[in-house]
Amino acid sequence: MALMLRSIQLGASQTRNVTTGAVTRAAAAAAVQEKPELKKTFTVYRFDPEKKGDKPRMQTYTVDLNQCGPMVLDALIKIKNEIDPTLTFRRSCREGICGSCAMNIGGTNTLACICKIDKDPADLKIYPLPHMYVVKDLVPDMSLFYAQYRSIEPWLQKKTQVDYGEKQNLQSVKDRSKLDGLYECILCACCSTSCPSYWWNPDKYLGPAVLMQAYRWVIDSRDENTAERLKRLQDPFSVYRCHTIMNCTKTCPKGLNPGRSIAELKKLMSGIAKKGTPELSGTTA
Amino acid sequence: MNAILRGGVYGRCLTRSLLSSQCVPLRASSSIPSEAFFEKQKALKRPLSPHLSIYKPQLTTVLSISHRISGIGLTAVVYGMAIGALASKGQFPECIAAIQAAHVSQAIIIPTKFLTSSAFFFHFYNGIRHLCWDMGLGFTIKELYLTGKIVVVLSAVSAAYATFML
Amino acid sequence: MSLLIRAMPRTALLRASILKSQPCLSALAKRESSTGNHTPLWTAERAVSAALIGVTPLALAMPNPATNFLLSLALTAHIHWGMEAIAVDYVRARVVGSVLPKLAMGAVYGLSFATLGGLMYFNFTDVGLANAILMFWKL
Repeated sequence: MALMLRSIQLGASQTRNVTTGAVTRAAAAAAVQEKPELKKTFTVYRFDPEKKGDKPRMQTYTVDLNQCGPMVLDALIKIKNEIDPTLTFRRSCREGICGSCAMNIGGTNTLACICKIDKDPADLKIYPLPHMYVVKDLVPDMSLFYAQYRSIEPWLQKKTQVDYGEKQNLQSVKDRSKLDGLYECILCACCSTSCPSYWWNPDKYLGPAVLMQAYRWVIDSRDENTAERLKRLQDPFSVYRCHTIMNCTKTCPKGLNPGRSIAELKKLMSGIAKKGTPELSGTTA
Repeated sequence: MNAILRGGVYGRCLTRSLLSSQCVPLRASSSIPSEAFFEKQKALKRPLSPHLSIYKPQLTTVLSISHRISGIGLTAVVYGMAIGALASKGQFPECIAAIQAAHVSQAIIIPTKFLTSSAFFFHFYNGIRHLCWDMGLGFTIKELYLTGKIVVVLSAVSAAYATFML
Repeated sequence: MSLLIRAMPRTALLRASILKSQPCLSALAKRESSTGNHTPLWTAERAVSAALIGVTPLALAMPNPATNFLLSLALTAHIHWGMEAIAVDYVRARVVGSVLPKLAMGAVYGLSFATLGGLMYFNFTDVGLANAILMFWKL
């Protein structure tokens, strides 16, 4: 049947190619149809701000995993395309680099686009990032998180005037390697929203993501404002609400270690550790 | 206005202002206008996403909260002893004698000893783990889990020894 | 020097224009009142915790007025800082209002002073902290 339809569609002049092509396509179609259904339920947090007096609720969707990509984001997009177009979530790169699709999947925070769906039939619960104000469904309000990031002044600060783009700031290979494991942060907020201290004091405690970036600028050999940066963190809340619970490192979808960075930050602040002089300083001639 | 013309992000402003550091007030990182943020959330009647009720219990959190709870338990004992010392008229040996005279069964004494010694040893060993972290050691996930399990096992063994052997 | 003078009005102008366009960034000009340097306290907390690792077994193994005194002092400080952290972490003004945090902190301080007094009194007039623990354990 498929073979006949195909020949009519493509026209007589292409019948020769259609025959061989169609045979392959028919075989492929049969193979896909033969794949058994592998159903899995996804129970997702829903909240509609436009519905007056709406309360957050859970909604369950069933997806055939054999007709779906391997990642949780694939399932969410499939649900949105085929079952419920009102399901709302952030997403962009689909490769774990933009940080948009950060959410709580199966109890831990991770990126939906790189979280493989477990093939077992157990229900998978999907929530927005914990202890965040919900805009809609799986979309949290990130503005406080971003304001906290801005507050640590995440840019290079030098004591002498710098004319941008004219000279290079010198940095040795060893000093550059100190930034490995820090610069790769995509600011997805999985770590900060996994931290109970950040749950209880999100306004005054900066959280692991922001603190790791504060550390990133503190130990950058090219940055000359170390003392000021550390001084700005010395109040009881910004850093010292961290009690080394270590949920942050456990949950980081990029494999980074914010917990260790905060510990190193505390060591620098107390004087147990010192930044050390840069191996190379100044600019190119 | 050259700062703006040079592709002006306010970063330039602050880079320049380092030269005239007197005019930049020292500001704590906590000076984020969070009040405005919370007022806005309240006005929009936004719900807070679930946290404790949905987050997977992991070794990290369980051991951390246990450290705090054991600390509180041990504190209660010390508070009791100190305030009891101030409040009671008799001496401590009389108190012990009174408990012995009351013939409190071992069925109560043994679990009490095990519980208090477990709390003490766990807090003690995990405290050492905490101090190692403060030195910057033991931060990989592998080390976290290994040291965590060692602390739990050591605590149980020590508590059993203290309860039944001492 | 002239660079400083030239930079100042420009900085102010730039900041003013930014303040108008992005209200969040008004944080740059504000000074938060809940500051203070917590770092020496953090270092002291670690030092006392480290001391306790040695003092606790020592006092239990060799109970005498000196070890009792050291144990009581270090323990009270450790307990005080622990309970203070709990009060600061959980009793938040945003959730419980402005009175309870102050009450909680007052309770922590009150209990700590009472504990220190009680333990010192116990050490001077009674068997002493380490001995008391050992005596209880013999039950």
